[in-house]
Amino acid sequence: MRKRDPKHEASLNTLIQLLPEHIERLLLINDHHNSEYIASEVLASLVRARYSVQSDLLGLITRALHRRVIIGIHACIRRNETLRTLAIGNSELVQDTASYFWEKFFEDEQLVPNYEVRFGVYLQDRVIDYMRHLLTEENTRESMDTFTSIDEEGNSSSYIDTVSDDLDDSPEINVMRLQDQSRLMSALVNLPQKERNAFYFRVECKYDWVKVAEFLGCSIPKARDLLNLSIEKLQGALK
Amino acid sequence: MTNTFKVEAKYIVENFLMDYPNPNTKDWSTLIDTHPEFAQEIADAAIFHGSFNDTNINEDVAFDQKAYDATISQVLNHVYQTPSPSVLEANQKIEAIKGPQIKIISITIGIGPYPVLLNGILAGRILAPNSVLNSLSNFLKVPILALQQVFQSKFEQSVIPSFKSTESKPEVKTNSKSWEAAVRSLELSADETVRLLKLSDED
Repeated sequence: MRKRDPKHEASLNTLIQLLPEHIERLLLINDHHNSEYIASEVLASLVRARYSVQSDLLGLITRALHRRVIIGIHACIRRNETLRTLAIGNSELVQDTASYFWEKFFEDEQLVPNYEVRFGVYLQDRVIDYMRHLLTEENTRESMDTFTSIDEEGNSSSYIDTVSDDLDDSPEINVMRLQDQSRLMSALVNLPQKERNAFYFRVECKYDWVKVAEFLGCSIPKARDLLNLSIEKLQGALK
Repeated sequence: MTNTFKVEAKYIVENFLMDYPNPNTKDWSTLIDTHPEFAQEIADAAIFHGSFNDTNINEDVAFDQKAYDATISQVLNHVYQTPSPSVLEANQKIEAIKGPQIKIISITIGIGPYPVLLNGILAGRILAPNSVLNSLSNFLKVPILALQQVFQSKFEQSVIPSFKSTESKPEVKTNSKSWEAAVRSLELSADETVRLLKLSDED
């Protein structure tokens, strides 16, 4: 069973002994460097248990946490190129993501949900879920695996089988390795899953081709081709 | 890929992030090596998490009041109109404790063979020390905060005794009894009293 941070546990136990007026005052502290600042994990525990549901205090706690959710989502968008691009075309991205976040928050039935352990990490993870959902909706590109190639005699074969099988890493890979990590990952996010995973396994994790193919569930030549396709697209995206 | 498979992969990644909030490629590779069957889902999570840069997020930016206003009512409605699943679960588990079980649980969670104390705690009449709450929480597998909510609610809903007209004014208890008062009222041996009172030492 996952446990809360003992510091948060202690803070929670102290907090619930306080008078509502005192808690209300603490809720106004927004500077997390302040020693009296209530951690979001603690607020999340109180909201989850509907602490003080008979009074307005629960509403105040919920408002304080929601404020942090909005700030957190906004921060995630600022730190992510793909999200920034998505936000340009969707003025309601923050509120849609916030609604998604709370839906997941209320659905969680674990004894100690992860938002009570590391709220910021949990929030970013939900933002990523929502980003993936948006990208899936937006991405109408077909996977290369489904493309077919027709030769001069009219015989069709899977496109992927026609790509040459070069077993050495190309010089482009070495260039890619020098790229700014977040920029590279941001470009990868926009590739089809198999292609981005091929890149990640081979270039980032440096697995041998046997492993890469095994993880991707395909042959080594196919894995190579997926990598080549990803590199080709990344070069375009990173220019 | 089945939904269960996806959920399992998600669970693994989310728990990994709780232990490694800022994982590097080596950490992700170790996770892939531990769960090769979820290699693709893990790689995908690594890519998406890696796509966030380390810009200082504490810099001042205008708070998105519009997004806040557009969603707060929905959140408040949910909070006030739906019961907490953890409190509901705690309530069900507490309601199920009956008869001889009370004595057995009292012993298991360290109170000893004094069901009257556990009965009082479960009904919200006695304030349990944190160590007892902790043991009860582990035993019932429900969060402490949920237990406290149930006890508080039970105390508030407890029947107010009726009084026949006498010369004195009726008194209704508005607070639960302290652990110390509850223990002392049992008039146990000195050793047992000390042992039980020590349970509240961490408070």
